[in-house]
Amino acid sequence: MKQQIRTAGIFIFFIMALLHTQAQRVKRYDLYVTDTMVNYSGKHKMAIAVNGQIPMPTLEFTEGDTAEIVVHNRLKEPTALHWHGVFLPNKEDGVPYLTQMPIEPGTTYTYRFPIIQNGTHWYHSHYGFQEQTGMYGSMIFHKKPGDPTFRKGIDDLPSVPVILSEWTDIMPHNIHRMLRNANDWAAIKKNAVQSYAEAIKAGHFKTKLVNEWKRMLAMDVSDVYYDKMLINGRNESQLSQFKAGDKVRLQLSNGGASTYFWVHYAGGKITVVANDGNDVVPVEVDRFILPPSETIDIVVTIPEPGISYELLATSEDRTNSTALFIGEGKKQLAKPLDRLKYFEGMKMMNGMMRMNGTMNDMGMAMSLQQMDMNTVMYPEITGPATYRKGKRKAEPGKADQMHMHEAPTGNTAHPADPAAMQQQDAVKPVDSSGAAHAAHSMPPDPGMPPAIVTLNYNMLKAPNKTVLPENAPVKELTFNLTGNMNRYVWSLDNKVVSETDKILIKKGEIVRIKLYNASMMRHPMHLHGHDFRVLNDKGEYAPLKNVLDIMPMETDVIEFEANVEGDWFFHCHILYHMMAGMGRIFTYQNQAPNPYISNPQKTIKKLYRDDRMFFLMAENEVASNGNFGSALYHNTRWALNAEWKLGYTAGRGHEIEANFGRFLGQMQWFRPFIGVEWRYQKDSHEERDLFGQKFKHDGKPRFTAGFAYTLPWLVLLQTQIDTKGQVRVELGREDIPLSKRLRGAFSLDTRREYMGGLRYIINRNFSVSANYNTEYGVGGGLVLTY
Amino acid sequence: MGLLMGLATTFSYAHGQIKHSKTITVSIRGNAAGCKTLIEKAGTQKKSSSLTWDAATQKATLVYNPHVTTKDAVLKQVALAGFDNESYNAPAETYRLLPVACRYKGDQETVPPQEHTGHTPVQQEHLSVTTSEIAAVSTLEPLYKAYFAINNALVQSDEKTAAQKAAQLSAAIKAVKMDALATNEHQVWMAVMGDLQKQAAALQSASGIEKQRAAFAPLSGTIYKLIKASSLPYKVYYNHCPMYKGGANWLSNEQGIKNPYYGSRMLTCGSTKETLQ
Repeated sequence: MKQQIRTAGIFIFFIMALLHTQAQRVKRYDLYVTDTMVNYSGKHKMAIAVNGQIPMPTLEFTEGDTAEIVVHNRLKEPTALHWHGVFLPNKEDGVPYLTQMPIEPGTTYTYRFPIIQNGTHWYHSHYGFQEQTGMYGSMIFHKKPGDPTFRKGIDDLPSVPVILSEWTDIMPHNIHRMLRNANDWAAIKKNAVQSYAEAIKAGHFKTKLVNEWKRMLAMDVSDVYYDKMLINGRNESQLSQFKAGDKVRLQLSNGGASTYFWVHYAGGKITVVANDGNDVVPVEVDRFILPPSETIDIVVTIPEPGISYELLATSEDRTNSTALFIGEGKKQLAKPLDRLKYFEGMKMMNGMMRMNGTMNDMGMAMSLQQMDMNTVMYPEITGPATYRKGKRKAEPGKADQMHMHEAPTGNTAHPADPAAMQQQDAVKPVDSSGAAHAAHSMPPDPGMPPAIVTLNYNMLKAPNKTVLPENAPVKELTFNLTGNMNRYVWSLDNKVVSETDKILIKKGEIVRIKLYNASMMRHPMHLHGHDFRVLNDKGEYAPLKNVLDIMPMETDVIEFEANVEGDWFFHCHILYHMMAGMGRIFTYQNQAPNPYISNPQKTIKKLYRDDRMFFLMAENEVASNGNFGSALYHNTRWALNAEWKLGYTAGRGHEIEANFGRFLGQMQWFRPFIGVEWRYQKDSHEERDLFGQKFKHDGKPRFTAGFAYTLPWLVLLQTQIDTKGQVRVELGREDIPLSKRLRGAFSLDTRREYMGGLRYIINRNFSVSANYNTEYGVGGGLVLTY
Repeated sequence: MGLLMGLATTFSYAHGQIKHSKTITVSIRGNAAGCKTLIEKAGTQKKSSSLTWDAATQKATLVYNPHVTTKDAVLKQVALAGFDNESYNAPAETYRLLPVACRYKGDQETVPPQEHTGHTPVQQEHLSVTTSEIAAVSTLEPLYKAYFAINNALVQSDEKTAAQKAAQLSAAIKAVKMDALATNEHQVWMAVMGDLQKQAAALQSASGIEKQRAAFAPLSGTIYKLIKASSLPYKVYYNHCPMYKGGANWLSNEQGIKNPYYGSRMLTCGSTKETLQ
């Protein structure tokens, strides 16, 4: 009997193996893309599902297979899928208007390409903002049986694809518009406004003042507020199929549109075994940050029976997190990351920022994520925030008695125990270099957490040599990553995609790119269709990647062999930065035309539309003393401004002015413009301005020319001359963050018109206001913001 | 410890401010009465939940509104405050931060997951003590010991200890009996002695951690020359940090990178260039 079963077993196995080899030829997936309703936050919202699910299904292939992926577009809008990190013919790359025409609604489209690599990759829509609304999924390429690079104890572990992502209830188009308009609603939601009131409370009034003096708006490490963070589409889930002693390989991809995830594990160290689909020599870390679009393979162990251990992924701004529990049984939590110390970060930025808007790295040659300047904001490394009077801090030596009355709760826990606290001065000023104070007591105290090892690119080493052909010609390129926080313009060398030509490279040459991040934010730069070497101190064993995360002020060098013809996108993978135009296109000399693009010159213009897009912002105050408002219609370089002040009677007067201008320079502080204005007041009499010029609100339109310039402390200076030869100078500022929700404004001009206003933000669209205006008097009302 | 699910599940509609309230019993670990406030605070939220804990039975009565929260959501908060319960175990770090009187598991049990890593500071301390005991072979050992201690202090950004150990180093340099040195050690010693005295003095008088670090860089170069000539019973790692002032080196008696030039800001920056034995 036993024998029979065994024979049958072998037979079945044989049949399976046969089928398997058959299947290895062409592996087909059908993807049905449909609109769907989701509820992640308690509200029903529109999203996009593929085969009825978010994330999209995991696609698995074995190296040597041919992938055949049939996309059935059942949306009301076009789509296109990009295979991230995959080597393939250019026409299968999935960038609409560059490598293919978009897949129109109601049509079916087939992607077909041979799988010539292995590793953890992922795929997502490259059309519009679809990636934000659900179109991302894992893509796993297994090693062929007998692959010489097969690693025992790693590649044979049970593995689980894990895709991280984020969800927002606000439509991504609207998010982009709000970002471009410097709308601070996301900051209010995240409690990261960093207003004057909050600065004073934290003892950082001067820091805030200097920050604004240097013309910086309060900044966070990320800009979008998300309602939920997700792992495989869920906020919390469990892999209960594993038990104590098991080693589990997790194949993580960050499918988030703009979120960097901190990942740490409650069950101990994490062993990193691959990055961006390429094997690396295993390296043990306590935590790592996963930039948008990077993939990483990690091995974790389940230490104790009956307990499942939390793998916690926290957004970089630490407002939200998602958890995966590994193992069966009761849940062992990982320590959540405490909130960022924003004012420490602001202080650090102040030190780095020069008055002209460029950054000063103080002679530190930064590279490869080795020095995270944001560390000054991490309480787990640099200690908890110190408040002026140490209100919530344990008094040295009194900690033990204190807990009876007011003890720290989990969220305000100190990284050092009371004994260690004693050695810390009551108020420990962060020294000029922002050095850490968390780990400082000698002899080591059991209460003290061991120093945290964070992965960086210099720790990555390829298992085999990755050197490129020695005799190949080298093309050297340099890009400065540039950005303008206040206007949310992101570019390379201060030029967006549509403002530049494609970069011509030759097949067979080595392209070496030096990147310097001159912007204030980090950027995950992704190259399509190629892996590049990240030059670190591993020399010939430099790791291969297709995403390079580069922190502010860092300089990194990457190189790749130009070996596949086509038009390849190289861009920042933060969705909103890419849409703003932060990228370039590489193209090969004398390459064969793409069969899917019949008129490349005309088609590419549709791609350029992304970063040429105009955005509307409007605000109208219905107050007791008049109706006041402004509108702004702007893109990367141009702005159309309109402003109106309408009294309720002709005697009060009406004023309308509009101008159209262009922002100059990288910081975009200077904007020359031409415009028109119209002022009317019944029975108005002649007045004299500060220059002695006579003027009258006579209701005749006048043309103007002038310029606006942003002064320190973000005061806008506007100077103009009209067709009557009259000069007017105006100084003003709006949206001074007085407290979390209270904004102040003022303006004064040479016509002796003065204005002051206060606005309290109720929600995204409504505020209540109070204002005083020399012409209209005192009033109060409601402000509508779009 | 009884981590059994509570039994009593009753409905009541008039429990304080909590609407639709549901009352259950849950198990929460803790030992002193002092824990009571902490536990109850963590499990109580205005209008949604209220927790009353009893130390003797290790049980708590939870009253909550099932429309706004769940048992697990409340117990997660309790665990995040440091208390194991029937659904969640507290993060190890959070448990360690509890007031001593509250540590219901004692101190031994603190971090089970990290035992296998062998990198807790306690173990390191044992390691360096034992190595230095064995290593009393070379006459220069006190000097090296002081150097490694400075290194550790800088890694920890501990200015005070660094200064103390720098004083020890100066003393150790003065105390070296040249006639006891091995021949090759002696030759190098003659060459570096002057530098060494100056550099140790500079480090000793440096004020502030950054100045100490600046002084530590040249000192490391000199120590390297010396240590290369000594035969030591333990391994020494010669590490390089490419970023500090255009590149700086240091020596460590522990494997793995712990950067003394930046401390925890970028502890792992650098690589081992050479292993000396």
